[in-house]
Amino acid sequence: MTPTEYNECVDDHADQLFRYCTGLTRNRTDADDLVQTAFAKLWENRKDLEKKVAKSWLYRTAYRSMVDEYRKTKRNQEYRNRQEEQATEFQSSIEDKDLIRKALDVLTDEQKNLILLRDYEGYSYKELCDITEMSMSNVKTTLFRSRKKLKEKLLELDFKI
Amino acid sequence: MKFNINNYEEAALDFLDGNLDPNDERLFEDFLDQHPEIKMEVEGLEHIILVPDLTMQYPTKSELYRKETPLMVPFWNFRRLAAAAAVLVLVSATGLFIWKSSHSNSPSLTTNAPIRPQTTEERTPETITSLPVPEASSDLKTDISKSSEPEQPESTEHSDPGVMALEESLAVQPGTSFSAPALASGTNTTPRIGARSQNIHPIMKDSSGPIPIPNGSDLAHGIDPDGVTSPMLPGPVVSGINPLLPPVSIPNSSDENQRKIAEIDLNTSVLQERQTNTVAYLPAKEHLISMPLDDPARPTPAVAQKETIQTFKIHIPGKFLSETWGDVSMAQFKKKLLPEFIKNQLNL
Repeated sequence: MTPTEYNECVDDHADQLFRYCTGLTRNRTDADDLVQTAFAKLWENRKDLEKKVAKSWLYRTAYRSMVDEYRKTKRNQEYRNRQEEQATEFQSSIEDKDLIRKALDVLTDEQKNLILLRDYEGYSYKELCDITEMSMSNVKTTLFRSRKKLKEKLLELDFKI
Repeated sequence: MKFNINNYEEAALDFLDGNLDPNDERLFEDFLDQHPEIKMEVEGLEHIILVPDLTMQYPTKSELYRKETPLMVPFWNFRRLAAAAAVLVLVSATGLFIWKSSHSNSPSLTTNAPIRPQTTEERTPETITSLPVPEASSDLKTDISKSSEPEQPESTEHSDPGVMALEESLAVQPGTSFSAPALASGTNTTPRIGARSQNIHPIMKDSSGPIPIPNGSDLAHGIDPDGVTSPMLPGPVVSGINPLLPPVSIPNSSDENQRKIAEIDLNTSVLQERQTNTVAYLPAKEHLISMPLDDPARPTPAVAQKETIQTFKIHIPGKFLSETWGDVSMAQFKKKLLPEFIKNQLNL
């Protein structure tokens, strides 16, 4: 990947990756950090990567970075605590328009990751398998359970489907 | 494909997305009919789709752009390069300074010639040629030109600037031309003397030629009275400006001094070649000899000293001055030798 192609990747994927990371972390600052980390690693490994695989590589890197940073460090607890607070806020602000997006907090990171990649970015199941390094059966099962969980949450929130 | 409670989740998404083939789709619908609780789970899931907020954009996208930098010199490398450049400049400047110094002082260093101590003979010419020429020489030259005129400059024993300058220049000669190291080393000092006599005292060089003697003058002893054809004065001569006292040679009344002079003249062949004369001006007193020739009763002439003081032009060989002037000073010459000479002349 040339520097020009790298900059094109920035133009094409930065905003989407930021939305994806925001959906994962539910925090814009953390999402910003994840985006910077993902693109920094992309620049470091640009010689070994092609532009056509850069998008999935960015999402995978961002997700792994999120897992590394928020689940394997002290910030994991903070992250969990913040998730609980946000869930409480979600329950108290049931009149919010974007209930489905806020209902993501009830999902696990793996479930959110698949939901976001599938719904936000439109990845196919096969692409999700490549990004998440999960089997096809596992991806589909996880996605089904994620949507089922979201539905239950929304019904619980009196969300009319 | 047969659907059961263990594998329906995987097929449920394909059923919602419409990716099942018609046969599997019909089989899956049969399965849902058989399991109403599962059918309730699947219903409505197609509406559970996250819609991204397209208005959300990454705020600091400009920070992600990168530019190719072909050559990145780290700061610590730059510091090292700067230090190396400074050292190089310092060494070059020092080397240039040393080279210039050595080149200007001893050019032989460039030819890798061995450095040997410079002998006295090698150093002497530079030393001698670097000696300043006494300004008195020009005065002497001027006075010489004036001495040919008959006018009588007023003079006392030390009021004549020419005399003063000569005394100063002569006082310097023994220390400069015959330096102690040169004599002690036994080296031949003749070239130095010659060089000095030619370089330092141009007036001596000019006066090294034959001294013209006025025709018809009464020459003293040692000079051929008929030497009109060869008017040379080989020895010390006192040239009187007063026409009454023609230039005569100065017989040194001191036997010791005369012997020294004779030894120097005879034994030093180099000094013999050097015929340079030194010009000196001395205040002189005019002695008038009055002797009535027709009076036999008074055989001895009467000597009367004239009140006026005459100026003499003395030609003294440089060899004589340089080697004997320490013994025969100017004062002794004026006070003792010259009056004695005159007295002897008169007695003769």
